Amino acid sequence: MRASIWLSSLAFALAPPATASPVALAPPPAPGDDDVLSSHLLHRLVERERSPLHVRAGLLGSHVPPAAIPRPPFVRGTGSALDCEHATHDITLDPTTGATNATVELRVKAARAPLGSISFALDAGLEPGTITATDRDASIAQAVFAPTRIVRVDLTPALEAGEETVITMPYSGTLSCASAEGGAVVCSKGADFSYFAHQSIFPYVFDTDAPNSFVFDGLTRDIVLRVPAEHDVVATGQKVAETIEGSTRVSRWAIDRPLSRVVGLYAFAGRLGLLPVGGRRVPTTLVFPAPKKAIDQSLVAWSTPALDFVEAVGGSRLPFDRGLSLVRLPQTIGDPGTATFGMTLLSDSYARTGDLMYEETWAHENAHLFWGIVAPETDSNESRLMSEGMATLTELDYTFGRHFASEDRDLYLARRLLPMGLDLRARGKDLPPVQLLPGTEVPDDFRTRRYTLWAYYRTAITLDHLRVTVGEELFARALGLYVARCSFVGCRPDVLREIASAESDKDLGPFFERWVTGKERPRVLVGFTPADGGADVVLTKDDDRPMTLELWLTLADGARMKRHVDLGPRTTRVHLDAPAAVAHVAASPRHDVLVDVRSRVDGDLDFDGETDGFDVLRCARLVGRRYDGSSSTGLWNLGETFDPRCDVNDDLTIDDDDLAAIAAEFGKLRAR
Amino acid sequence: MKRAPAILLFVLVAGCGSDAPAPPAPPPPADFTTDEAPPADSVVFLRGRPRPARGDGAQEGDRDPDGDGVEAERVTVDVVARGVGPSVHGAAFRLRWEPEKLGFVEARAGEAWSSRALTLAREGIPGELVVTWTEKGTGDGFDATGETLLGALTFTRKSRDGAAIAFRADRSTLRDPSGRALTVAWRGGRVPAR
Repeated sequence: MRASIWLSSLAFALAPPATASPVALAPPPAPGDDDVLSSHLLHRLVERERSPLHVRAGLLGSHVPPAAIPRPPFVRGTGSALDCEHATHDITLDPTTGATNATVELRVKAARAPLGSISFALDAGLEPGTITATDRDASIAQAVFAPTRIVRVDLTPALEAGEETVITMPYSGTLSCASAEGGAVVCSKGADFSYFAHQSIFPYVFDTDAPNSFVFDGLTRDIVLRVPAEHDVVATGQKVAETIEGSTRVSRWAIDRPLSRVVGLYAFAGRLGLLPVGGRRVPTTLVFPAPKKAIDQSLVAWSTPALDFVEAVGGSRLPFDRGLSLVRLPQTIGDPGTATFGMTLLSDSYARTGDLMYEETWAHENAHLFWGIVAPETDSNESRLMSEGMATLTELDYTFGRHFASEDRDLYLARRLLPMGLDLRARGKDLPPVQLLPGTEVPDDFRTRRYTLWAYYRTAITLDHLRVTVGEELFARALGLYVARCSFVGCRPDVLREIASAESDKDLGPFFERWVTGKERPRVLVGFTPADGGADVVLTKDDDRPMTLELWLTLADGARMKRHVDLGPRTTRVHLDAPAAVAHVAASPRHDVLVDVRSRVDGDLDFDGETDGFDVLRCARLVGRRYDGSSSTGLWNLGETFDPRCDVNDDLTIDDDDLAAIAAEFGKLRAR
Repeated sequence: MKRAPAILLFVLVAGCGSDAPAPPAPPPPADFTTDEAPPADSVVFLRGRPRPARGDGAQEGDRDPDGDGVEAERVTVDVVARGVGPSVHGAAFRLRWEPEKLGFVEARAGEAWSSRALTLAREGIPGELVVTWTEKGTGDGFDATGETLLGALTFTRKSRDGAAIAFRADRSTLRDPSGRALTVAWRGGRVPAR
């Protein structure tokens, strides 16, 4: 159903709110646009992480491909006045039949502006009872857009800015657990591993007048789940208590820190597989559909190092002191995975990628426990730098430590960043910057691939570029301070800039202007002259704005020295000391995606200040090589050998024309 | 051919009959002497190429660049690989010599290289030559397990003094199709004094 038709239907089915604001939505993609990619596991996960809710997004534009890629909100919505503070859920559920009898009490406040209407989305099989609001009247309208029921609650009088009320909505019925167009489900009934996601038994709350707002609105929750005693239960949150009352298992869960209202809530019930994860300070359990499979042992084995690594990056322990649930989602459910409060989920369809990428993706999702849950972004429509960017950087670093620690770390990271950079070159030159400026919006054509480039690749590359710029230790320290400052409050990338600037005693505003709110790729020419005790280096760029590069000096004996050099004016001259003759002066290859570093000598690809056979041989064997960036799956490309320095004309093909251009510069030598 | 076997050939021929043809004149002295060095399993070395004699007894290749009636002697050295391995895809090397003693004339790639190979040679600064001979793209390269002629370099003598021609080993390499550097020793040599 196209977005405009849905909105019209909603308007017809429901009494229009007093302050209706039409929200323009981009038309959904043509079915053929993402069909090929919709089956790619990387993009399925991207889309799942991008839009927290399958079905709600599907309502906004649901000509979805068969694999049910949820359609993201393409346009940043108008500001929302909805400020949720706390929700209390009391849910009686038969997981086998889906029979549900529940109540939600939601305390909300009007933030900054009047709030006259709130909407809930829940399973179409559940119907609301009489809805009340403290100190005011509540009238409802509802419509079913299978498999979801939308319930709109209009408040009379509306809440004035700063006023609050508690809305109580009972709801009951039998879960339909139907599929959305395209096959997405939000629940799956059964006696075994049953799955109840947000919008099934947990109503999703949104601002009727600003449904696309993703400005951080965190609320705490108390959840009581009552299921038949023979069923196990695991839910989002910290388990507070569990008792058997007659034939009912009653479990109580707390989300005791503000969790974004758009982040998914989950409950699993039935005969659950449960495996303890050893080596962790708090009880950590792998949850899976019984019987146990070999991959469950793998997930258990991976979880401790992954969580330990995530905590090392975040600079503190995860705050889920009562327990952590790690869930292997069966691929039959169709949910790729995500992270939420005290819970990480990943589909076992990722086992098809092989152990290396499965483990790496597991690390990515667990990284979100910090980057997105503990430290949410102010507005995930504005930037994904500190959520997907950090999770992606973490997964790269994790895999290095686990599987490639014998390699040179800089070269490993450069190798991993290379295909992502090539994907950006192939399809991302006109992407918006990492952080959208106020008043700018994501493009209408922000489909999966381009979103991947924007939210995952450019962000991770920018973070690593920052890390090289300020140094590893300072960057690590800044991350810890960021987590401390941003725990359960929304933060913008500016906070990282402030913290890193303070720690480095250097204004990183120019860095963020170039590469976070801007999308520059400045050219820097590097030249050097061997000198007594080192090298005299000259660096030239096209502007006067400061930037810093990590330079690599390769000595005649093959040793490498690293030096940070601040570039201020257009030409910077600096003498760098070295204990032996200097043979090459280049920049760290980790700068390459975002800085166009070249030798001052044309054709000098190895930065020794001369052009000889080493420059030619580097490229000769690559003639005929072409980089196909159409799939934008560079994150999962561990062995890319395309060399951008050999692609002289920047057409993503290394051919005779490129080699001829290199050969034309052959034979320029230093005077003796 | 070494002198002793030539003498033996002369004696045998003389003993066979008085109407046997005169033995050929011994070849002229080598124009180039490869550097002595410890044995190496894989090596690239320079080897002097004897100049064929002209009917008048002069050597081919002599030139008279300055028109003074004295022809400048040309020295051609082969660049030979031995024991390098089954798959050579590219070669890059640098040579140094004293420019007041030798002048670079040309470099030619050997027949081991395919017709598509890229061949580059340039005297970047006086007395330093950069050469690249390489295949392009994928392909297995050629077998240089045995003695394989990579190419030939021609110089002119500018003085009667001996002149060394040396590889800059730090800027010389052979590569296989994957780009991996092959381990080789580099042996230059010397043009003897006249």
